[in-house]
Amino acid sequence: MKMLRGFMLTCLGFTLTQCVSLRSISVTQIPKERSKIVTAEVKKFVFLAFNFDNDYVDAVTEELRSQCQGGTVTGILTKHSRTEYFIAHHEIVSAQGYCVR
Amino acid sequence: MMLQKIAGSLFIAVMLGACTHSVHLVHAGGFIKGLGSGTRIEHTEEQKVYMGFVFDNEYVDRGYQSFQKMCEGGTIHGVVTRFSTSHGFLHWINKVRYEGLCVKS
Amino acid sequence: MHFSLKRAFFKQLAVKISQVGVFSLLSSCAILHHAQVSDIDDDKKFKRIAFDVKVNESGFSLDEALRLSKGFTSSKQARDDLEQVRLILALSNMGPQTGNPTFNDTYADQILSAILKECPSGNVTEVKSIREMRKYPVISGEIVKITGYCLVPN
Repeated sequence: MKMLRGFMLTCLGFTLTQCVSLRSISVTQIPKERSKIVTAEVKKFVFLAFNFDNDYVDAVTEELRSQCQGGTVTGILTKHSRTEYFIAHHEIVSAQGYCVR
Repeated sequence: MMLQKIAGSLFIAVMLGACTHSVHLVHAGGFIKGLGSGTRIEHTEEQKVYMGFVFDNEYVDRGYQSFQKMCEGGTIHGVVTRFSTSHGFLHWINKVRYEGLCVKS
Repeated sequence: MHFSLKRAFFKQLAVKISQVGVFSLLSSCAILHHAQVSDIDDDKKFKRIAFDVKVNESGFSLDEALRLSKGFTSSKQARDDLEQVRLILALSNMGPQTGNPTFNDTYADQILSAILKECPSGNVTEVKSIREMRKYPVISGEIVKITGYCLVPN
């Protein structure tokens, strides 16, 4: 009985893993010139619910800017999603836009 | 009797399914000064999820690409994005709706 | 015997009324779900005229309604039936929720038209998008509010 329960729990654990959920999205103005695509993604691994800051998100704009020096990044699609594991999860913020010079 | 009860419950569940919705967020922005109001374009992309098993968010990017195709050679501004879920029996549908103003000059 | 039954009934009634009182006091809250801000243009050649657009839809928590009904029911059979209905409803309306569920998802689709009605030129800046809810027992107001400024030449 105990073994069966353990087996069931393990199965449940596996089935609950890696499920993705979308938390938020937003899009800014999309330019006429869409040839140079710039992308950025930041991730944070959170064990249980221990997360004490969200500063990792700031790196997204830095990364986009570095890929478009001297230009303007517009048409930015920002996605905030979460990948759930058994007792932890990944917070993912990704952005995709166009570099206009 | 038991079988009847189960069949009845299932019937009610199916009948009541997919009648509620939840709008998670609506984002408006990206207006460009002096561009005018242009033509309004709109695209909705969906993702069906059964029992919570979902492994990607590709539909968001797919929708974004299709939305842009509606205004090839033009600028899209005043973009309003809506992310919502329609609930159903043991499944649900995630929806992303893009709406904007297409200006071709 | 008759007197003690009556006393028990009124005692139970008083408990229920106080429960409802506490519940009502805790309700009718404004709950913020999301807030986002767009680009800010502070061009002095333009006059800024503030506008706001608000759309809302009634939300309904069937789960909360059934839980409340269960609390008011003394019969075990009725409570079991309500629990079964709750389970059926939970299974037939599965999915992530922000606030209470509504019976349509298109109530915010007229936002862009409403913004253009307030500012036909489309020269809009500093747009704040707010998704909030006004919560009452069982029902709620699911709200989308957009505020911004329309730029008009001086």
